[in-house]
Amino acid sequence: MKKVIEVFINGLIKENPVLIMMIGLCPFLACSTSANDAVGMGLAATFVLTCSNIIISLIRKIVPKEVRIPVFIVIIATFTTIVDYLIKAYFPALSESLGVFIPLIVVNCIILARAEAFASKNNVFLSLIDGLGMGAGFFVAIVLLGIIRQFLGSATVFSSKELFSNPAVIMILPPGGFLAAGVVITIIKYIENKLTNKKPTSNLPEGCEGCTLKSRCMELLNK
Amino acid sequence: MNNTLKMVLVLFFVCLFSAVSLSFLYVKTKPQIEQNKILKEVKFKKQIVPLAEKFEVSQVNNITVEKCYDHENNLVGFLLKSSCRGYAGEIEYIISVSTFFPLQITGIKVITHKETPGLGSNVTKEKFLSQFLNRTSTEIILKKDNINGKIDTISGATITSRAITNSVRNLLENEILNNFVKETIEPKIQSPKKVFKTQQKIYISTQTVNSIQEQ
Repeated sequence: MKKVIEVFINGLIKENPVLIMMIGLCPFLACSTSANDAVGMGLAATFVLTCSNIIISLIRKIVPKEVRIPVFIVIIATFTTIVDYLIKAYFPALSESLGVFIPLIVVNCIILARAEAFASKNNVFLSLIDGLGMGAGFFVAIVLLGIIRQFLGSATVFSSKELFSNPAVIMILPPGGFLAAGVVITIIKYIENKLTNKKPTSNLPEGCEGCTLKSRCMELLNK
Repeated sequence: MNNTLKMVLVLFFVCLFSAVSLSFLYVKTKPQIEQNKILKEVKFKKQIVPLAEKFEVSQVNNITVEKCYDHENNLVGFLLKSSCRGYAGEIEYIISVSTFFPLQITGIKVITHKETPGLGSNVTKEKFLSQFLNRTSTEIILKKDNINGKIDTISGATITSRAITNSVRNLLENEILNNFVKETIEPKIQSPKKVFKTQQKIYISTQTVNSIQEQ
């Protein structure tokens, strides 16, 4: 049980895919123009991540090492297409606003990274938890950015009611995505540094201090 | 050798399962997706011919033409549905045209397209499409192609803009279509025999409407 919570928290906070590991930034920036789109993208990516993690973990023992990447990609692409069809059929408005970004979940590197780093090495249940945890981490990050950008850029949050006049339209355009993401990541990094500085890291090689994969390397070193 | 065979088999079965499940889901969701497309078309029709309440569908030389009548049975316009080849695939659009000559465009909407997001996909935006409003076929040409043109190209999407502009112009200049519109607007001026002919045509077209609804 302790391990389950640890895996989930790891995905949500400690190794948050977007804010700490800095992977999957493309959908993070592209689909956060409004909070509704961000929720749709977050849920779609979480679904694909969890399902592909389960299947990959199920077949991890029969897949030869040489063809594992093509097999992973086929599985991920299958689930992405499933999501694409379902959204097109039952949420046409969402399909219109997300457009090509749903098929692009295939190349979302969070999903392939978790398949390779976690699901292909752990049992089905833990892979499910990891998928949910990482998905939740992505969901929280993209919805947070979506709310910030929609609030500043179109003065609305989750509805069409304008909260104030003359919003900064640049925030819902691509430059605004970079600005908002930069500020959010800076704040997260500041908090992270504050927290980790209390526990001095001793046996790290030089130049590892600012690295985003530091915690992962530490784990490997301790083993 | 054994290892190679295993690799081939695993890949084959994974792809087989994927293909089977996807084709199953495709068949399941297809009716709903088609339904959504029809709903979208109906919504667009309402937007570009707001007065219309009754539609009469007929086929004129591979073009679907719908005569639109308001609640008092007055002809308010024609809806034409057509498609053209854009940069990345078919662009399907509907236009509504005036009931007088020379034919003017009163509304235009793009239904489906597969253009590049951010560039070609701007054809669906009002900024581009509103340029077509109240224009006749001589004015519907890109400014960069002809000095008399009135349509500004979307920057970064010349092929898309040119495709849709030329397609709309060809549609308006289509001779058979023009004759069809002429016959519908001015049935009284023609000889009695011809009036009978047009009536027959309308009769046939309502029949086709019924048969479509029955299907």
